[in-house]
Amino acid sequence: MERSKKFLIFLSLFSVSLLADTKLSILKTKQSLDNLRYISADGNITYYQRASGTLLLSTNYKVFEVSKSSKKTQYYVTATEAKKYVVIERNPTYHTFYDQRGINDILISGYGSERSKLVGKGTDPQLHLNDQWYSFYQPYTKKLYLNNSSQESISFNVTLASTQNPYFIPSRVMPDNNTVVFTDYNQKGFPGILVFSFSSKKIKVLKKYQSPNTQIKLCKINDQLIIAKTSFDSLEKGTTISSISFKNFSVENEKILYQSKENDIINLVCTQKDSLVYFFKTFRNEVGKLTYEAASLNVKDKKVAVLGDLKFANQIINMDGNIFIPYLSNYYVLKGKSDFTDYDQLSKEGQE
Amino acid sequence: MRNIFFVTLLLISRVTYSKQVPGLIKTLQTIVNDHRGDYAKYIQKLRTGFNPSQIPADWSKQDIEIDSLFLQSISLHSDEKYLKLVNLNDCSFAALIENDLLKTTLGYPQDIPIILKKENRTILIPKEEFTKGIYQNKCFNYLQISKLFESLNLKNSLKAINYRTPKSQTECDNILKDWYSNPYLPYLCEIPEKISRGQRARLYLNQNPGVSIAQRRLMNARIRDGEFFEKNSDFFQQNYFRNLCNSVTDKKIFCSPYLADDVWSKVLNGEKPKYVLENLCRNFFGNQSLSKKQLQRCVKKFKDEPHLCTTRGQDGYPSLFPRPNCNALSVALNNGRLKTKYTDCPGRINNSALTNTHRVLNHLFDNIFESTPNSCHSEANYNISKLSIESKTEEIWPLKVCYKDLVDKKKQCELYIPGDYKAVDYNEEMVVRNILFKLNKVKDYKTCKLVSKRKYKPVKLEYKNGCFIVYDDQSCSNSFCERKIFVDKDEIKEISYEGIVSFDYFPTNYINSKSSIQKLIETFYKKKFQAIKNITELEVYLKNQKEGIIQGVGCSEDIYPRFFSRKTLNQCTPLPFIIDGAITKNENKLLVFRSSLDSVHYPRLVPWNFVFTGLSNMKEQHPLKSWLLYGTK
Repeated sequence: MERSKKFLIFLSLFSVSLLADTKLSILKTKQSLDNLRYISADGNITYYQRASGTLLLSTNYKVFEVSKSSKKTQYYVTATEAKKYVVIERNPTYHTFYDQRGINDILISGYGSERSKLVGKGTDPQLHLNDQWYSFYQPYTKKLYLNNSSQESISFNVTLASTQNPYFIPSRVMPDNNTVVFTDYNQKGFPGILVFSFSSKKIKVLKKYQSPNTQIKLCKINDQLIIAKTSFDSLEKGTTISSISFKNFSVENEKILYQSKENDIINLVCTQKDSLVYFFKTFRNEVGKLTYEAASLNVKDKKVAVLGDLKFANQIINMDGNIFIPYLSNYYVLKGKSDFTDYDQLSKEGQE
Repeated sequence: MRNIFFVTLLLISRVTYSKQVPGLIKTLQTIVNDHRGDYAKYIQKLRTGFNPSQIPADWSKQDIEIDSLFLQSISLHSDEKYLKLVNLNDCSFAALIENDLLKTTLGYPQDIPIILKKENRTILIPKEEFTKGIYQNKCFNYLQISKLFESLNLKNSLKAINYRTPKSQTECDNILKDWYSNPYLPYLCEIPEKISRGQRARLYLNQNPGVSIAQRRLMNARIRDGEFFEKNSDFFQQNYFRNLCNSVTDKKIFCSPYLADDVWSKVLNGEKPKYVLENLCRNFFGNQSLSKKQLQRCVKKFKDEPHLCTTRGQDGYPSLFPRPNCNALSVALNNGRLKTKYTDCPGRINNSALTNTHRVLNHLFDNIFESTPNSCHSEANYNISKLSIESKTEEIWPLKVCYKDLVDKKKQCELYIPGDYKAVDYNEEMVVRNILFKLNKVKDYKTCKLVSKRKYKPVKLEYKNGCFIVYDDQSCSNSFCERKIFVDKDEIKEISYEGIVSFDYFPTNYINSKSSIQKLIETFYKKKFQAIKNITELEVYLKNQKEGIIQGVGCSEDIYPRFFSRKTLNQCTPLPFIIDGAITKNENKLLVFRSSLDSVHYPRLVPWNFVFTGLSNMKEQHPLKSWLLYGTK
């Protein structure tokens, strides 16, 4: 038996032995999970990539080519529950050029459409305001681009001040068609939350923080800006999640929703429907051992629920309302459907 | 000998009280001043008319006594720790004299006044003859010991010594007890003492240029002695002896540096290499080479202000920010082993596999670079281009500057490395200049100079004439850097830059696996790679391979979740890294982890679980489904 296969069996046994106690179900799909790039909650729309360098869309038992590039091109597909557009990040040199600050192709495509269009170069593409806008970031020029999805001519860019961390990517939300709220660092490395107005082209500082170790992440739930704040440094422990209403948008109106004495992992997923903020809560036992569990905070009643039991997972993604935790080559389902094997029945030609 | 010393102390007091003085007790200062005058006159009297032939050949066999005034002088002017060493054994007095550790009011004695009791006269015996005589008649083993520490034998003798360092207070007490009965001690104390005297002498001459010839001669002799001992002993040995000899008066001086946990103290006492601290402190002092005092000041800062390491110390060398605090850094460096006799700048290199390869090669070959903010990325480029050239694997280093040849009109290209790394002639400045020479664009200019867009002002005199390669340093990196070339203010458009440094770090297919960095290092440099599958194998590897390190590639989102977040399905940004240590703290398995985005001098303590997850997820995206974690030595 090949070494790699022996090892895979060993690894799966090892993983299973580690996770025998989890109550979370594992995402199952008809085709190989590592090729998948997006699957809708109802399973009708699937984006997946092939080793030949193509990104394919599978829907209604048909397969369409959305993008073609050189062999081993890596794709990332982002879509929201609005389902009007998808933004695609395409990296043809994924395996031969390891660049955290990727200058990758950014494409936009109609949701479920085979046509895609190259709209820029950068990384971290996101959709905002029910897919009316999309944004992406260029770390080398430190420019944040915000473009209207349906009208190409309406676009803006903001140049960030951050110089200390070459790998910084701003967290950003759009409260309306005229504004973007984003994080940045000043020249000394102190973070802040800034507001850029498209009409006036001016940047205002909403809030400044006093330590370069402070980490800030933003998301939006309905008409509220959600701010998660924690620290990189064990000497300055503590996490808060707070909110500011866009209607009375000033720091004086900041309300604390959650506090912890530990440095949680604030990779936020915010869901509008149920007003939940998902993050990873840090636990410390009596001897100081640290573990991390997925948790949700309800912004309406401030209740925190610990949902995971994997101990060392630290990432969470939202795919059309399904909340997944990618961990040790599997996707654990925190919320939503786990079994997609009945869907996405591809014809033989469409399969690898 | 010991009895002589104690008797003499009594004599000193009698001598003191027998003199006519104002009052019963007088100040030490007055005693010293009076003694100085008396002693100088006494020795002068002895020297007047003295002839070495007056020294009987059998003087050391006779009943002799060391002159009491001489002993008084020794007790008043010698360092307390060396006076205590007189009690080491019956022969240590002579050994201390031999090694210039005991001092009179006139300096380190070159001749010793001895009373021949039978003849009732005092003679001056030259120092060498005195020690030889005492050793031959009373202390035979010292003859051998003295030979061991002669100039020609010194280095080897120091190598043969067992330098025990304590792990506990009890152990320290035992170590000191052994040393205090060791006859080598006066010879070992001579080393840091004379190094220190040489440094003081140098400083004295710098501050007093107009000294007399005799004084200058004396200072120069001390400087020569100091340099000799510095050359023939290493930093650890010097520090060990200094602490040991100083501990005669205070045990803590020897024990506390070794019992201190932090890496800073270990560097100061020589247990950890000096460059570990120098690399961090350099930025604070702006010097390439730091004195011991500067290092001590730096250590004090790190201990008092642990936040300092987070933001300061790496100006000009962009990397992942914020960095770990000094406490966490101390734990990581204490348990790490990566050789870092250079400083790199990950933020100025796009392909982080290049940064990681540079670090791995520097560790394997113990490379040294005198890094500056201008040269740091060129050094990494040089290392990889060297591998490419030596192994004849052009695809690894495809960077070229191209032009159309004037004669045959064909496109010609020359290999180059970005930056101004002057140690090789294929650095960018030289290559561009040579091409411009071929194109008849430059005649006299020896080189073209790289200049940032912010600095290049053609109206200024310094930029009016000359060849300049202008780049935007605000948005410039190794691979993506728009440049404009100007010769005497005219832009040159006949030159183009081509190629991107992109390669397989580990093999991604079976056909071209030989040209991956891993395979090249294995086959061309004959280094060994061993697959590491779990934490047990990792710990065993680090324990058994003292010089070995571990390298790998994992998803940055899993390894550094606080810095990078995953937003889409199968998002995984490959992050090359080096692991050079592992600890267990509060039941957490932590790795001494240097990602290719971090400053090489600021390792982080990363949970093994995060790294394992990163490796697992990376494996899923890898074309060969490879587990990318290898021990390398």
